[in-house]
This record gives sequence, structure tokens and C-alpha cells, in this order.
Amino acid sequence: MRARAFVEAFVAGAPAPEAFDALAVDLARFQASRVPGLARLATSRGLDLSSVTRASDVPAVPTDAFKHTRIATFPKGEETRVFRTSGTTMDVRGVHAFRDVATYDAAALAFGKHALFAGLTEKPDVVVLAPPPEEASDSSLGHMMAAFVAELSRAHAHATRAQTHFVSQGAIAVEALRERLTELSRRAERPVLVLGTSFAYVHWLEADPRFSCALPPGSRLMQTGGFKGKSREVPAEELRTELARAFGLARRTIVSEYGMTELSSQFYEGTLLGTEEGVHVEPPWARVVAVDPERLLPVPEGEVGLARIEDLANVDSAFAIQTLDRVVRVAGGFRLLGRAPGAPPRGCSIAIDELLAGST
Amino acid sequence: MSARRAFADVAKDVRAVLDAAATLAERADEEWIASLVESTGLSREGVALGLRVALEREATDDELRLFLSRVRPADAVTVVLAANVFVAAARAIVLALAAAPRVYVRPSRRDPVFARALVQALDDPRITLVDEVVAHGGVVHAYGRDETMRALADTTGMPVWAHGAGLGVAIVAAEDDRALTARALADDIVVFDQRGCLSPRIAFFVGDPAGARRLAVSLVAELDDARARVPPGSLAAAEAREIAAARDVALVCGEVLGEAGAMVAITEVEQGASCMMFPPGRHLVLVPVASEADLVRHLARFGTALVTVGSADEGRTARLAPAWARRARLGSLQRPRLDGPVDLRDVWLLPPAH
Repeated sequence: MRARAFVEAFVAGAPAPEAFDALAVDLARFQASRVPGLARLATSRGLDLSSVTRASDVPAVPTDAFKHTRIATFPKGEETRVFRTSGTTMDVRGVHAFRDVATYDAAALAFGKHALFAGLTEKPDVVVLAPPPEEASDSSLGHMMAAFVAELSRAHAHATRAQTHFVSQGAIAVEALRERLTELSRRAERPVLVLGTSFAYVHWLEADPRFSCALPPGSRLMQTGGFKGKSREVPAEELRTELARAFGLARRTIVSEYGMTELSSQFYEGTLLGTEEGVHVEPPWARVVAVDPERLLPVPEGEVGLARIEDLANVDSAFAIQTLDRVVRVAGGFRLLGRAPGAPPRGCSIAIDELLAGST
Repeated sequence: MSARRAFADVAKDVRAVLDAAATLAERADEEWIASLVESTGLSREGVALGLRVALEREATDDELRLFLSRVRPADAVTVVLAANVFVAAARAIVLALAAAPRVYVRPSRRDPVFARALVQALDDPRITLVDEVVAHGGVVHAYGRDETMRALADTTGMPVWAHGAGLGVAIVAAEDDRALTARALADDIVVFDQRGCLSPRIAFFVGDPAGARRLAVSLVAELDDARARVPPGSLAAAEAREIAAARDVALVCGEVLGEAGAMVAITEVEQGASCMMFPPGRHLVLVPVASEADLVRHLARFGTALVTVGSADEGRTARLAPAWARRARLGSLQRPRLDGPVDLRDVWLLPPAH
């Protein structure tokens, strides 16, 4: 409830109900009391969580841990949703179990409306370049997009009859998407919100390279995720330019989302809020801290570090997550700089990433 | 394609290479050892241990017959070597000589010392040191990362016998002698600081978690002793970071004994989850499993990444190891018989035209 209060205060435009650090340390104590691994992590640092007062002192759980063990404060069987990271050939996937997704949904909608729906005076039509939720029931991204679709569909009943998702069984419905975009551009009744993954956009651009339309004023596009071998990799600049051309959008209306299965909150490029391209903004209930890779301590603004993510909405798993994503804090937010390279391999001993990727 | 070579000729070649390698090891002077230390990243003692333990010294006729049967004849072979398991050059060269009348050896760029010295010592007109892989009518025998070997097949247009990355797994039963098991595991872990595909990275303990923990305590003590005799090699900052991050993962998954230089994690793995693993160093993940049936399910998840399986009991190893994996006694994982390549997975990568 305390985490939800942060979200509700944000929606109401009210100040945060309590200090971030106060809830963070209480959450960390609660989680360590239920998840022995989190208590061991703190003990190994010589930390007594009962006396910790700053969120930054809470040890962060490496994202890889979610691939190897269950990190949940509640007994097995009580989960209502389980999100999994994208699959590999060994089918080793990170797992994030939720006892209740109400806080997740509230947080996703609240910050999505703030950063992605900013400036909209009417609810847009939605086009999704991702599978429908019934095809990806364990995808946190699919769940979030479905929440957006449900929220926006409430505004105009006819929209629910139109096709929304244009990826199914791993294939993009190129013709149907072309028709839908053409129709929405021609009618120009409402803005359009396009949601999709980077690799889906790349596949679509390759499948229909000459298509272009001019989406109605106020339209915007969200892109998220890396490529993970699912398509050719396209530099972010190039992809943004191509998407702007194809949809007839201004570059600042193409908004990158940064999220991960192990979290309950998302971050957005703040271009619709006035930041420069590439600067991501955070909700008041989550922070991205750049930490130095050796000691995992915060580095000053402007210095590159690894993203340590503190998420008050991660109530039933781990408040702090340590990623391998390189970030730099800048005025107004942070910039994503890609994944930190691993140590150069030596010898023929297999690396865990290779093993999980099933690359042999 | 060349015909298969006569056994006697191959045996002669193999023994010539082994003799040359043994002579190199025996006459190693300080300067040469220092250059190996620099190129391998191992400690001086680690280099000496690799030469003493893992360099092939002999082969029986039966082993050599098997060896020859595992070689695919070719007009020429280019051997592309990987870094760090420096003595691997000896077996790689005899495999190539058994396969073809012309052999080109491209040492690892980072770790060329042993391979260069061996080729020079052999002074065999059939063997040429090269800096680059040049396409010819034969094949490539490559050792190293999967992506590198795939690129070799793509760029040279030659078939590549791919000896890729992998790992070793140990199987321990509750009734095994704990002290002997811990000593044997430590012996296998210390050689090459786990940078070879024969190094055990995970051990499954068929028994209760308390038994696994007792073994872990003994193993940490053995690894500490080994550190005094054979100090670990140097670690790059990125390697140290990855080990520290793996330690955090291990702490979330289970208990970690030992210090940063030699850690043993005891983690129970739930059905459907995967075992964690430390990066190479001197670390082991010890997984208690309730039964051999559970163990087989775990092993299956590694697929062909599994290069060797070791235990104290040959029957147990034979019963549980997948067909392609080398089987060895604990303590001897780094001394595979000279009966073929170290890696028995027999993977050939074909160029795109095929």
C-alpha cells in the first residue's frame, strides 16, 4: 500500500507521501526477512539492514539471479502472474513472480500516461507491433502494452473491434498493418499510439521498406528492447530516422522505453516532456543510479556507470536490481549507453552467457 | 582428399611431437617460463603445473588406433589455436599431422609462445607457422569461441573442425571419500585456473545438502592449500568484476564458502531452473541432488556444452555421462587419454556454399 501511495500521489499531482529512503529500507528489511538470499547478500556486505537508513545502502540483486532462483517474498502457489525474460535455446529464463499486479499496473499506467501520453487531448487509437497477450502471457512487456490498450480502448468502443496487435505466431501481419495505418492516416480522427519492440520495427521496415504514411497530429511511437539476435541490429539513430520517415512523425515523438522483467517500473525517453533525445526520465518511485562496476558505489553525474535500479514498486521481489547496462546521469535523467562488455574470453572454458544462449 | 595414414606413420609422428613437447618442458628456462607467464596470465607455478600435469607424454597403441579413427583425412590442415590452455598445441598438432600431409599452425595471438616453440622445435618441413589463415584445399582445425570458428568457416570457405567452448562437470556420491574427493576436485580446478573446457565448473552431489556442505568445506580448504603451492594467475579488472557479480548471484541462490580467490557455492536448483556458474578462476558450484535421475535431468540441460564428466567411479560416470562427453576419474580430468581430440563432440562447421 505504501508503494501504491507513491503512484497515487503522482497521479494526483501531490507530493510523495513519504521519503523514498524510508520506504526503501523498510521494503529491503521486509524482503530480506522473507527471501534468505537477500539476507545473505546483505550479511556478506557486513550490513545490518535493521540499522540501514539510505536506499543506496541496500545491496542490489544481479539480474542474473532471477535466472537461477526464485526471488519472491511469498510462498509458491500464491502468484497471480509470472513474467519471464525472453527465451533462449536452453530455455533458461529469468522469472519474476507477482502475488498481485495491481501496483505494477498502476505504476505502468501512471508513468506511461505521464511520459508517453503527454500532451494528448484525446485518447489515441493504438497499434501494437507485438503479439497479443494471449500469445505471450508471461511477457511483462506484453502485459504492459495490454494495460495501455485496455485503458485507451475504454474511450472509444469502436476501437476494440479494430485489429490492435499486428504480430502473431512470430510473424508481422504486413498487409493488415499497412491497411490499418493507411486508414488511420486517412481518417485522421485521432492521434495514433504505436507500441512495439525494436526488432519488430526492424523486421517490419525490412518487410515493407517503401511504406510511409502520415499519422495524424499528436501521434507518437514507443520503441523498446534490444535486438537479442532476433533481427539485424540497427543503430538507435538510424532506427529513429527510419521510423520517423515511415510513420510521418517528428523525431521527438518517437519515445524509447527502458524496462525489464525483473522490475515493476519503466523509464521513458523524456522527449515529449522536453528533454533531449536519449535522456530517460524516472517516476518518483524508482531511481536509476550509475554505479562504478568495481565497488558498485554511485559515480558522479556525467560519469559512466552500471545501472543500479531502485524500484519501490518491486514490493514482493527485490527493491534494488544490479544490471549490466551502462548509463550516465545527466540533467533531468539518464542516458542508456548499451550493455557493458564482458571480460574477453580466455581459453575454451565456456562463459555463462554462452551457456545460457545455448551457442555450442 | 588424402587417404587415411598408416598407423605406424601416425604413431611415429605422435611420438615425435610428444618427445619434442616433453623436451621443451624439461629444458624450460626462466626466460621462456616468464614469456609463458606473460602470455597465459597464469602464475609461474601455474605454468609449471600445466606442463607437468596436462602436457601429453605418452600414448598406448590402442589409444593411438582410436586416435587415428577419429581423424578425418584432408589434403591440408590449418590449426587455429586459442589462448591459455597453452599445452593444447601439442595434441592439436598431432591431430593435424595424422589428418594431412601439410599442416599450417596459427598460434593464438594472445598466447603464441608454446605453440611457436613447439613448431620450431619439431623443425618438420610438413609444418608451417602462419600468422593468418589462408584458404587452401583442406580443412581447419579450430579451437576457441564458437563465433570465431563460425567466422572462420564463413571467411575461408573451408570446413572447420570446431573445438568450441565447454565445461566439465563432476559427479560426487554421498558415499565417496570426502577428503579424497575434495583433493581430486581441487587438483582438477587449479590446472589452468579453470580456463580449459575440461575444467570442472559444477559438481553435483547425489545426497543431502548437509553432505554437500561438508564436501564444500573440505574443498575450500584444499583450494586454499593449492593456492599456497600454485598461486592463481592474474585477473583482468573485468574478470574480477564478473567473479564478484557471480558471487552476488551465488549468495542469492545459496551459501558461498571461501574468499574471492577460491569460492564454493552450494546451491539447490529447483526443477526448471538452471545452475548458476562462476566465471573461470578457481570456483565451483556444488549442487545437491536427491537422486541420479535428478542429476541426469540437470546434465541434459547443458546439452553439448558438456565436454567432460568425472567421478570417482567409472561405472557411475559411464552410466550418467552423455555419449559425447569424455569420461574421467576425478583428479584426472585434465589428463585425457591421447585417443582423439580433447573435445569428442566432433562438430564440423561447413562454409556457406555447402
